[in-house]
Amino acid sequence: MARFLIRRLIHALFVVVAISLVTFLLVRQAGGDPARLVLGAKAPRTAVVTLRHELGLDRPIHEQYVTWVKGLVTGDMGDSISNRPSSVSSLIGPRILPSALLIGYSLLIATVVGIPVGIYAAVRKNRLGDHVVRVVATMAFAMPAFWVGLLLLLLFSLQLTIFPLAGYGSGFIGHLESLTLPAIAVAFSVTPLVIRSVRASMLETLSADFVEAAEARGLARPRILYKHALRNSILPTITLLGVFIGALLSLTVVVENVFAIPGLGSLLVSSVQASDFPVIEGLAVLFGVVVVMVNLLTDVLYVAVDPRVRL
Amino acid sequence: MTAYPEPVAAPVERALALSVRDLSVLFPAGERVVQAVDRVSFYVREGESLGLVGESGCGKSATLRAVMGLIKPPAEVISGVAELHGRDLLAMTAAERRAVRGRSISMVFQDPGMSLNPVFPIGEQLAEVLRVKLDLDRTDARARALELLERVGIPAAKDRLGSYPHELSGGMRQRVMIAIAIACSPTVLLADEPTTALDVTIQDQVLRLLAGLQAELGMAMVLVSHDLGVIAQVCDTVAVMYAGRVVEYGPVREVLEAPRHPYTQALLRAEPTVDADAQSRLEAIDGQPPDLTGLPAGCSFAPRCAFRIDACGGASMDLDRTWPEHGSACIRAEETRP
Amino acid sequence: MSAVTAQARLPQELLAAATRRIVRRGQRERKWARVIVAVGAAILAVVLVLSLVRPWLGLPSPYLQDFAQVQRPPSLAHPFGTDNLGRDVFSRTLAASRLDLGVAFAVTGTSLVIGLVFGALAGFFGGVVDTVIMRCADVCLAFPFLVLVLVIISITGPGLKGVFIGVPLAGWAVYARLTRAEMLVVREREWVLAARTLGFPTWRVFARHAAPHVWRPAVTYSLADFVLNIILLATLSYLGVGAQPPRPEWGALIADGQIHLLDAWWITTLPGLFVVVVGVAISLIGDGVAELSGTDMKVVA
Repeated sequence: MARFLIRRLIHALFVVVAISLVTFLLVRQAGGDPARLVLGAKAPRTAVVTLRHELGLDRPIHEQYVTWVKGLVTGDMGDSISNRPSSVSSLIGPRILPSALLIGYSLLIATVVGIPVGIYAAVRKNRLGDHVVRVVATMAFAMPAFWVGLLLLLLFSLQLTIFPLAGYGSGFIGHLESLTLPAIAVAFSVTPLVIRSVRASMLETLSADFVEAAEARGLARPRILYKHALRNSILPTITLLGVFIGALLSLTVVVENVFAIPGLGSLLVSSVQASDFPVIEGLAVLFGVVVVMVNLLTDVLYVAVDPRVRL
Repeated sequence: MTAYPEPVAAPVERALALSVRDLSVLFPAGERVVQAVDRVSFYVREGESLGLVGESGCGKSATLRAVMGLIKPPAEVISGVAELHGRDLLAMTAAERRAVRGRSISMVFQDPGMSLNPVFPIGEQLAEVLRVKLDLDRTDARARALELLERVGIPAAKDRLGSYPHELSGGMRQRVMIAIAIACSPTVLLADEPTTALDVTIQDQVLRLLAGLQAELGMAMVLVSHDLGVIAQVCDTVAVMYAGRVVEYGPVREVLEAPRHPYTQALLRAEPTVDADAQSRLEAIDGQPPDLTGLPAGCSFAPRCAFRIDACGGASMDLDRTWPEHGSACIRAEETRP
Repeated sequence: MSAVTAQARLPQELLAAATRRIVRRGQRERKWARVIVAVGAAILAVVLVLSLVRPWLGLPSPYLQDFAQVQRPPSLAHPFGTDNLGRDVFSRTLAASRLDLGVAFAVTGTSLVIGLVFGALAGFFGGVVDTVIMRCADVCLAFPFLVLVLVIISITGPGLKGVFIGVPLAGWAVYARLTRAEMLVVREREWVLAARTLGFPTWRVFARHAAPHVWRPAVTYSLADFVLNIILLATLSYLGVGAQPPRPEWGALIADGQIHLLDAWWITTLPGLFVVVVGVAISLIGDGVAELSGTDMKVVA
């Protein structure tokens, strides 16, 4: 068990390092001259050289990388180009919470809706209920999140004025209110994934011998479903959280834009539009690290929860 | 030929525990169906045990499952009754069946590794049955679970209550399954190849356990196996099945020493025996296993039978009752009598 | 005495009726799968045909601005209404199909091919090859898809160039994983082992005996990926970093209508609905094919 964990940790570490390297090389090298971008194309050469020196861009590449990584670890990711003199971390910091809330909220909706529906579809396999569920899930999945967001806006903010139009709101309740429509928009794309995987793992579990044996003991159907079968099929679904996190992050990027939520996603988009490379770098690393960490966590969780794997 | 079985008079009249008549089960197979169980009838009295023996695919497991009501769509039980103390299991509602299962009739499955839920400790699985079926509270259920584990011979039972199935050996897991099955002292115990997945040395122990428990609790038992030796060790009566039908029945001793059906005879010849001549060879049964989607008219064993005659193609395969209590479906049984 | 006795006759009619019932039940399930594929394929075919023959459909040109017809709701003349410049939205939607479907198809195909090749290599040869390829895949998969594509677009600049580079770069990894897993199984199959024992050169065994059999999981997934890429493309244009105007593209169409959401809802809603229909059609095909081919599609990890 310990060996497994250590191996996973090393693997995760490796990926994180690789992420930082790739991001750094990609953005720094291919991204054009940051100094030029700041000063503009018409700026005199001397000014550019000075700025480059200031930003440490004339040092050898590996030195730059090490400096950057050191900065990363201490939380200093350099300064933004388009929002000088704000530091990257000051831009990123306050935006973490809104994005995290959005992710959590949509995950909540997706699981609360997805798990029971997935179970239902598994129990009614190949009958009408199952087909209806699967078709509806397919439709929801094919709906681009931003389009769903806009529709929700139209219906519930503009026409029915139940929810605020944009932004983040204030106070915890205010946040939740503002995040409801965005969370639903994200959930539209995530819930089908949850349904599909719960259904698949329930089907697998339900065909197992111990389910028949439990029936033979005279246990009631609900008990067999919710206690015996679910415990077994929840396990594979947990690992899928690692898969979902990537999709969740991508979805929040776009939905934050639709609803003008001051989160990491909208920052990423505006930075890409403005070619603000330090910010892009920082965000890319942050996103990558989050995905790796979540994957690591779910692996550990899976091992901890499954008695069979306990050593 | 009488339509329904008449229980034969016995020296000591014990009550009929399980009575199965005309049981037929169909399974889908692509564009056709397999008649996995074909008009099978048998009965078991309290305290006695019946063995169902035959090759894989002969329908013995399907028979047990049909009795327990475990046959699921698209497969179907298309006819028959299975009376547990007079109440037809097959005619019950789902709720009635559920009440009866585990309480009055239990089943032990072949592979205990797969039949126990891997994520719950065995103590919990045992206690659950006690709480749900006997309405015991947690403490009582736990105490009784401990008792049961000790009864089935689990060493250091107290420590084992919290063990997970994968932490136990095959033999111990099977003992746990048996403990769960007898937890409510059922009247009938169905055992589907309970020892097939176990080591030979453990097999004997588990069989003795089953026989002992049966005597102690006065249960009726139906034991399914492909191994004649197992049946011989534990059962009073045996029914030999082939291609979904019973081809011979009778007291175990008689059937094994003087089989009346060519299939039974062939089965016996194919079994290795301890005192056989070292030079003698095991005789395989001629021909191929039966194709259950397209059985021949008349006797299904005829294609492989050494005694086959033309009349076999029109034979009805009803059990002959020429000799008291020992029947054979072979129309030439008279001649094959040793 | 436990005993077995006479077996009565089973009425032939009962047997026959039960047989019919059971066989029919089994067939019904497969029939549904075929219906689903057919429906999906039909819808997709209609869309494809419509978008190809659009120039001859008698609809106004997608670029024609008619200020007398600004923001008209859907009608017979304009099935999807008109936008803020008087352009026919339906015509624009159809015009956009060519681009969206074409680009999505191209990038999906590219990811598929790259993934197949590397996955097969990794699974077959194992060792260093496997480790290197899979580590690269891990890094690619460590970024959320959209994020990675956005990063690459920030380097290449907005427009389709970024899409063509970014999507396969991020997308190949899933196919590689699927193919590698399949190859690990195929590698142990009898005919591969036979080829090896016969002393065939390793490359030959790989290319002719093993590789041709590993395509199924990847291709099955590619249909779902196709839908995802369509949505991705639309998302990128919506954000302004995908296909650039004046090329009509679904996401751009939806973005155009955003400011007029309340008074001219059709500009945003209807093109989006069109995208959903196309996406559903392709998904149905994918699901049906997966069920018919019996592939065990676990959600990709």
